Order: sequence, then C-alpha cells, then structure tokens
Amino acid sequence: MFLPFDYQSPKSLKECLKLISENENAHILAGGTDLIVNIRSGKIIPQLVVDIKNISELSDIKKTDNYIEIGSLTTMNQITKSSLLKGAYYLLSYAASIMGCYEIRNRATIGGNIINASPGAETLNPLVVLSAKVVLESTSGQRILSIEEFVCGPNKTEIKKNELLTKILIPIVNEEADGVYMRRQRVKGMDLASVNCAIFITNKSDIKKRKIKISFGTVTPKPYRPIKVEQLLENNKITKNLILESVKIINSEINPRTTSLRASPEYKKFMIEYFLVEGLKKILGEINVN
Amino acid sequence: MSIKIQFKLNGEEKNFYVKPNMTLLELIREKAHLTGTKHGCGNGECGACTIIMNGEPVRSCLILAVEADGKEIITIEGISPQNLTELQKAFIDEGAIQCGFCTPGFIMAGEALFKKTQKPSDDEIKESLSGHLCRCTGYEPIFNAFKKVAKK
Ligand SMILES: Cc1cc2nc3c(=O)[nH]c(=O)nc-3n(C[C@H](O)[C@H](O)[C@H](O)COP(=O)(O)OP(=O)(O)OC[C@H]3O[C@@H](n4cnc5c(N)ncnc54)[C@H](O)[C@@H]3O)c2cc1C
Ligand code: FES
Ligand code: FES
Repeated sequence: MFLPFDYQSPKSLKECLKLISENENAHILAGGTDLIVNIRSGKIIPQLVVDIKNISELSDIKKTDNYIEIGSLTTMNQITKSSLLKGAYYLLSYAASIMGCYEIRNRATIGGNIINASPGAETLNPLVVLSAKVVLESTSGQRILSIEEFVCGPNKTEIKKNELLTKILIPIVNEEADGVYMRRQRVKGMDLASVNCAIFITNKSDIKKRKIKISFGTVTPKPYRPIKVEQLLENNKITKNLILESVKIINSEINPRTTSLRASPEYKKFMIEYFLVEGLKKILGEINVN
Repeated sequence: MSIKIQFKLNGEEKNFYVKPNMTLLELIREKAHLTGTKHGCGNGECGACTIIMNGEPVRSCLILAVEADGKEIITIEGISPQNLTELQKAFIDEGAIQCGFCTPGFIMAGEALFKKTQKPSDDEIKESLSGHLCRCTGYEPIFNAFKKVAKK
C-alpha cells in the first residue's frame, strides 16, 4: 500500500479543471502505467489523485477540416486500431502497437506518454515528424503548443500545474506523404527503446518539392531533430557521401549520456546511420548508398 | 477517506469500502481473498497480476482499487470454476507449469487471446506472451500449450 492520498474522478472537463486549479499537489491519473509506478517508488507523493477516465470527451479520435484530433486519454490499443491513423499517419499507430505489451497498451494513453516524456517515449518521435500540436486547457483558457516546444527534457514538459492536456492535433497532409518509425531494444520481448527514430517525407517523388522531417529519441534530453541534415537531404539525390556527411553533422550535435542503462553513446551513434539509411530506403524505395 | 465501490467479480456483484491508495491487486488478494492472482514485480513488468477487466486483460498492480467501481472483473478463479479450460489442460499436458507462480497470468492472457481469435498465428501467440515472465520453464512449453489450443 502507498502513502495515503485522496481520489477524485470528475465526470466533466470543467469539474476536472476546477479541481486541479484548486489543488497544488494534484496528480492526473490516466492509464496509471507511469503514475502508479512512480507512486510506488516514492518519486511522486500525491495528496490528490484526479482520475480522468470518466471524462468521455477525452478519448476519441476524429477528423476535422485541418487535423486528426486525438483525445489525450486515447489508449495505445485504440490508436493501433484506428482507421484514421493509416497511410501517411501509420507510423504513429505502428509506434503505439509495439510499445510495452498488450496489457499495458490496454491502459497506457497517448497523453500520459507525452507528459511522462521519457527519452525513448514511443509516440514522441512520430509526433514530432508529423508536426503535431498539443492542446492544454485550464480554468483560464486554452493554449496550443507544438510538440517540439512542449517537451523540454526527460519527464519535463511546459505543462502548468493547473493545466490538462486534452488533445493532440495532427495536421492533415494533402500531398503525397509517407513515414516510418524504427526502434531498437535490448530483448525481443517487452523493453523500452534503447534508441528510436521517426522519418516523415512529403512529396517524395518530386525532389524539388520534397520535405523531410527526422527525429531521434534518447540521443539528446528531448527528441532531437537534425534540421541541417533535413535541409541537406531534402532536395538532393541521396548518395553515400550525403549520408556520411549527415551522420557527421548529427554526431557533432548530439551528446548521448554515458549513464544510459540501455545503450552506450557509441551504439547510439552507430544506430543513427543505420536508421537514416533504412528509413530513407523504406520511404523512398531503393537508394544507392554503397 | 474510504470510498464505497461496487463491481462484478467473477460474476457476482460485490461491494467494498476501499482506501484510494489500495491497488486492485491488493483488493483482490487481501479483501476478496482470491489469491490466484499473484503479486510479482508490482510494476507492470511481469504479468503475474493479470486479470480481465471489461473483457480486456490488464495488470491489476497498476490499477487502483477505486477504479474497479462499476466494472466487470474476472480473475483466474472465475474463468471456469467447474472444469479446466482447454488452455489449462494444455498447460498440464505440455509441462508448462513448474513453480506455477506465473501460470495464472499466462492463462488470463491466453483466455483474452483465444476470445479474440480462435486460431492465433505463432506471432500473435508470442505477442500475447511477450509481457509475461516465467523464471522456470524457459517459455517453450508455454508456447507449445498455446499452440495446442490454437490447432484445435
Ligand atoms: C511494463 C511497462 C512497459 C512500458 N513500455 C513502454 C514502452 O515500450 N514505450 C513507452 O514509451 N512507454 C512505456 N511504458 C511507459 C508508459 O506505459 C507510457 O509512458 C504510457 O503511455 C503512459 O500513459 P498512462 O496513461 O499510463 O499515464 P499515467 O501513468 O496515467 O500518467 C503519466 C503522467 O502524465 C500525467 N498525465 C497523464 N495524462 C495527462 C493529461 N491528460 N494531462 C496532464 N497530465 C497528464 C500524469 O499525472 C503522470 O504524471 C511502459 C510502462 C510499463 C509499466
Ligand atoms: S505484479 Fe503486476 S505486472 Fe508484475
Ligand atoms: S513456472 Fe515458475 S515462474 Fe513460471
């Protein structure tokens, strides 16, 4: 049993926002797969736990004119099954489908994954390359931030104590687009990612208009976008030399910590080249980089 | 603060007064006295505490007891109170039980899997086993037990 705390389960968003604005030490409970672990370890000692699972408007995926809107309470298994997250957006549902294990995915939510912001968090790299935004609500109104601005480091985001993450917005892409998500882990069974990467390319068949977005996890404290490399690869024919140059740029910009339990900096640096080549091949078809 | 909760446990309506800091696993074992559900890691990693809540397998060590309010919960004791299930029989035939600590978790995962697909592929079986740890059998006999049921 944990140290004592109070529990509330608001039925509406309004009620929930009021509760968290009035209680400094309230902790939101979504799927609980991070929160309960942190309560057990003593890392979090809540006075009040606010369970948001009875707020039904937080858990669906819908398409509006400009966005695919994902409620923060949507579980990984719901994301995996969603017919709206196919085609160009498939990389996100693929990432959701391989995190944890089936039973964890039944509970783990996308909102919890973002707020927990672990360096290898499954959904963060796909969300970065899809240019996703987060919607934060409080009794004083709404803020919308890009996922890149929102996540600041391991377990750190821009969320304020009185705010709830309500939705994730994924811009609808009208051009031809495709993406991939890749991860490496220590064992084949359940394990957190040692290093991961997402790549998203629009207008892939038109080299002049091609746009490339890349994001790596666990190589810097927050998802790392090699912007110079994106620009380098975007409108140029991809060759061995270009890849080598890209890897050089990335290695000069990243600084993987030596204390990681899962992979050494050398291994992560090695994986960068592999992910880059394999990811580009998957999206663009055969490219000649030998 | 104790909260009154009501839920269906293995087919029977139950009422409990629980403290918010009690987990569903503790409630099942210590208040409902159903000790088939095991406490292994307490952190979601081993699968020994797996139960079925509203038709889906979940880890009861990561759920608060209060969250069970209004739910329908099935534990290992409730899956087939009179007879062994096909999967339980297959576990015995294949020697998939040694100390038995992990077995209820595997059986619950299997029940959920076979409810969804009667003939799961090898990959689907492995996927459903992947979040469960066994320190004794080496997994092979457990996989074989699942295969045996999948073939039928
Ligand atoms: C066995 C196991 C395996 C795992 N494997 C993986 C893995 O492979 N990949 C991976 O990325 N993660 C993994 N995780 C971590 C975890 O499952 C995910 O991060 C999950 O998405 C968290 O979601 P949740 O709904 O359970 O969050 P919770 O635990 O409910 O919440 C997490 C944090 O976010 C806050 N929060 C939640 N929702 C909101 C909201 N809407 N607004 C504001 N704050 C909010 C909570 O207060 C808490 O601080 C694993 C965890 C376990 C136990
Ligand atoms: S005791 Fe719940 S997963 Fe190990
Ligand atoms: S039989 Fe002993 S842990 Fe699986």
